[in-house]
Amino acid sequence: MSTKTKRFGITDTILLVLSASYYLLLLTVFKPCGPKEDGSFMVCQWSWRAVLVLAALTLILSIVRFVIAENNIRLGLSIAILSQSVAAIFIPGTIIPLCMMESMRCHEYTKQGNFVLAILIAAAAVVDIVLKVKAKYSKKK
Amino acid sequence: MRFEIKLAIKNIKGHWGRSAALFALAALLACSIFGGSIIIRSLQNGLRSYEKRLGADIIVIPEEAAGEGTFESILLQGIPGYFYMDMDVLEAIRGLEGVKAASPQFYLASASSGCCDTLVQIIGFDPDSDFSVKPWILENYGKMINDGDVIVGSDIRIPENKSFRFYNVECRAVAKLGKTGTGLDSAIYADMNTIQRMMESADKIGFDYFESVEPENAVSSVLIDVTDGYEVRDVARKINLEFEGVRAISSKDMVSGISEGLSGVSKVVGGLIVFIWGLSIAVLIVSFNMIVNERVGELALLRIIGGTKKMLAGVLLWETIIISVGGGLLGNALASLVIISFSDILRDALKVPLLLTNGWIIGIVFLFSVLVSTIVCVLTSVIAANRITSKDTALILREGL
Repeated sequence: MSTKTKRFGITDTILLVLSASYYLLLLTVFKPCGPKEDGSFMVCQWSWRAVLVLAALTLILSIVRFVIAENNIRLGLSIAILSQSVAAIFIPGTIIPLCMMESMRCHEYTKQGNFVLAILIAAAAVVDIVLKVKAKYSKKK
Repeated sequence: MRFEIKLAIKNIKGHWGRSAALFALAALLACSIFGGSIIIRSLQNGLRSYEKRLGADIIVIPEEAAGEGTFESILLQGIPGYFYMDMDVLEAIRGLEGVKAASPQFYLASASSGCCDTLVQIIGFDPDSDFSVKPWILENYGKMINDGDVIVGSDIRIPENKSFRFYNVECRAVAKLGKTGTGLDSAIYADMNTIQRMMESADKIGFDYFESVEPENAVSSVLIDVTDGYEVRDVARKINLEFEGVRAISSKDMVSGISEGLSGVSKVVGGLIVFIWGLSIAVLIVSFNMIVNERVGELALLRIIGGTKKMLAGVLLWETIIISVGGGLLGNALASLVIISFSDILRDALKVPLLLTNGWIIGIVFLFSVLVSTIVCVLTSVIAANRITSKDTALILREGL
């Protein structure tokens, strides 16, 4: 049975704002170093691109769940956002290596900025999932 | 669960907008005391670590390096640099009265292809006379390094094959030093033979680092340990008077220069904390009074149906405790996430040594700031609770507070 809940709630708004900030900050403030003098990129570039794709997907999912009223779909989207954020935490430095010096931009900005924002998005998604599951079971009772 | 607590939770849930605003204020209070204290402690920690890592009473460098600030840039910001003077200075300094020990150091900036996609500071030392780097190496590696071995600062990742190549000289990374919160974290340490091979190789390849000094006779700095009973500043002054083209700087002067800068930063952080606290306490007092005024009918009704004054005060206090503890925990969690993650950016921005204080202290400050912000919130709500419980219920219902 499909259930509809109130749209534009507080967790919806928080998730949307955080996802938009995540994508925009990765594109600007948390961007790693540009190309070297010979035009080639350092290894951190690939890690940043992978995280950027996940950030773009997270933003799209957040927009979709902001406009959809169906509770079960929104719950599924929140679970997808949570999974993507957790994956994003492990991409720079663990799954895809970064440059060798920790004082470089990719360590100080890209990795840490990605970590902070992905953690916040994951936390907001967990709160949203808990609230939605709780609401679902309280309606059943 | 006690009735007062149940009612307090229902009240919080029922008025989530009001509760969220108070929650945010409590978070701000806790976050400001926690964040400010951790930053100030980490700056002090960084300064201590910098002082320890200098490890000498006096440092002698070429005059132009002192004027351009190259030496401080290497130490504080990790900007690779090099400067050289003739080795004769070392022998002359060793013969001076008041000099217990003098040891040379050699600075070389790596070519970008050497290891790390960027320039790295290579620091060479003489294992026989050194008293500054050796204790750190022994602490982290347990023995002295051999020819061709290097020890890397905490910010440099050792590759899987443990091999680095600088100016065609192959080196093996044997250990990593502990974090200092200074520019030395992104430096590589080698013994005198290894770095002199690199310097000679760099000269042969065509890197014009050495100008008029022969690479085999070049030294970047001389570290001096002053004999007990002699004034460090007097010995430094003597060197500055007797030797041309060099500058002797006492490490205390270097540290005190940064320390003065740090006290300015600490004052700004402290001032901000006081401002945020003053503002938050004022807003909390006004908010709690407004809330009590708004809820006067509800609270008087509770009295009429049998609620005691003690119970009403209990409900208000429990509401405050739940909101302030929750807000404090959330505020501190956010502050620790941001401060721990971005401490290196803060260090680069302030251009001072910054070494995060250890986990136990962070934990204690975390709990302490939640406790302090809870006490402040409870005290401000007690004033409001006292207003409602000190008046007669009938009078409140008829005239308000």
